[in-house]
Amino acid sequence: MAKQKRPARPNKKLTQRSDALPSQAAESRGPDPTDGAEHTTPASADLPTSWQRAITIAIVLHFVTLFVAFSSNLYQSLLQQEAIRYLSPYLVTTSQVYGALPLEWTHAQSYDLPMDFEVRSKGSQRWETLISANRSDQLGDNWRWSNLTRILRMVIMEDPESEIAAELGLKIANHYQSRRNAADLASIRFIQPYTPSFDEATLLAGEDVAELDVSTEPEVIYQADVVYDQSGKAIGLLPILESYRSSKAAAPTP
Amino acid sequence: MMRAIRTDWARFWFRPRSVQDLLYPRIAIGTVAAIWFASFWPNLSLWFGENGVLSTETAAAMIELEELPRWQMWSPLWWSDSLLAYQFWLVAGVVLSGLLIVGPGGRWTVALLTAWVIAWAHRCTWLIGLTEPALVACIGYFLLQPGPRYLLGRSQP
Repeated sequence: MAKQKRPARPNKKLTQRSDALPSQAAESRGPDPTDGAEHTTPASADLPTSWQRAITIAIVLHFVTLFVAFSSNLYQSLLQQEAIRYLSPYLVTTSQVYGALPLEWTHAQSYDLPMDFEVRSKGSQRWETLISANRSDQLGDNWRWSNLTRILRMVIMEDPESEIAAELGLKIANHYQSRRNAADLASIRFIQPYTPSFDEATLLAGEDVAELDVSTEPEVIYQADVVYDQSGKAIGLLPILESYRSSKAAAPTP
Repeated sequence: MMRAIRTDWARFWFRPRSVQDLLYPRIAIGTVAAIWFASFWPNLSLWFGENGVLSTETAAAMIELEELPRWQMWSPLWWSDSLLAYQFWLVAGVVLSGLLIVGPGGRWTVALLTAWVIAWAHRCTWLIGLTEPALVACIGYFLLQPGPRYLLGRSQP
């Protein structure tokens, strides 16, 4: 049979089911953890060629779509923007779009840097850190906090008076305040702790910080005052733009 | 060369193989899915609920900010801010992940778990990272071939 010409039905050549069963039985006995009985159910029956073509096209389209989505997370061209717009009914609906890229690929965009959340109570000048990207005791929060702050920072960079940032900040603060019975809030802020570059880290490792012309103060990304109504209920936040803050690099109270 | 590529492609995707090869990957992915659902439990009241950071109103505003059509971020959880609903979703997700590990229901179980994960990820909006798309993809691929059942330490076709 092996010497005959290629058979008319391509299925026979590609699958060779009748010849494959004995070898499949040998394959299936590999790492079987159970009773060692033969389980040689094939993964699929012989598919017609038209089905195989259709499935091949679907597979290729699927992975090309994912590749386009990932590559578009870097600097998008107009074509990529349009492609993503047309592909979003598939990508977004099936939750297969990831709106960022790993740090190792982007080499640290500014919005990949850590961001902490701080509050200041009424009558106090002291800022208190409620959520820190670097605190190990908030393991569950940290993982998703980093995801949230990445997008939040992009929003703040686009719109320093963003209502979403204000709403998120107020809700986070209220959540923690209610658990601690602390005094009413006066202000909230998102800050970026000092993150040295490679060169700065090298310098800091070998020299006294005071002798170096390197600012290690955290940077205030967003700051807002809490607005209360006449009954004392917090009704919103009033963003304090950068030019009106007392200092761009306001150190948190240790 | 093209013939070799076509042959290798057909051999990889369409050659009949034992479904036992899918058992361990399915157990691993089901375990990851169960842990992923459970990881939301400790901070559920922070993120969700009427006073949560990501209440339905706030999360909907996030979607609007990204100019995404609401239907693409579908999820039954948009209809409720009750913490009980979210707790139920997480518990059911863990149970479904366990069913994925064991294997009853075949593709129906896989399809339901895939939809469950997607619906939760859509409700989480800005909390999701690289894990969620990877998890959806890994679970979704089992729709092609769910693999054998695994009961009481024995695999069954």
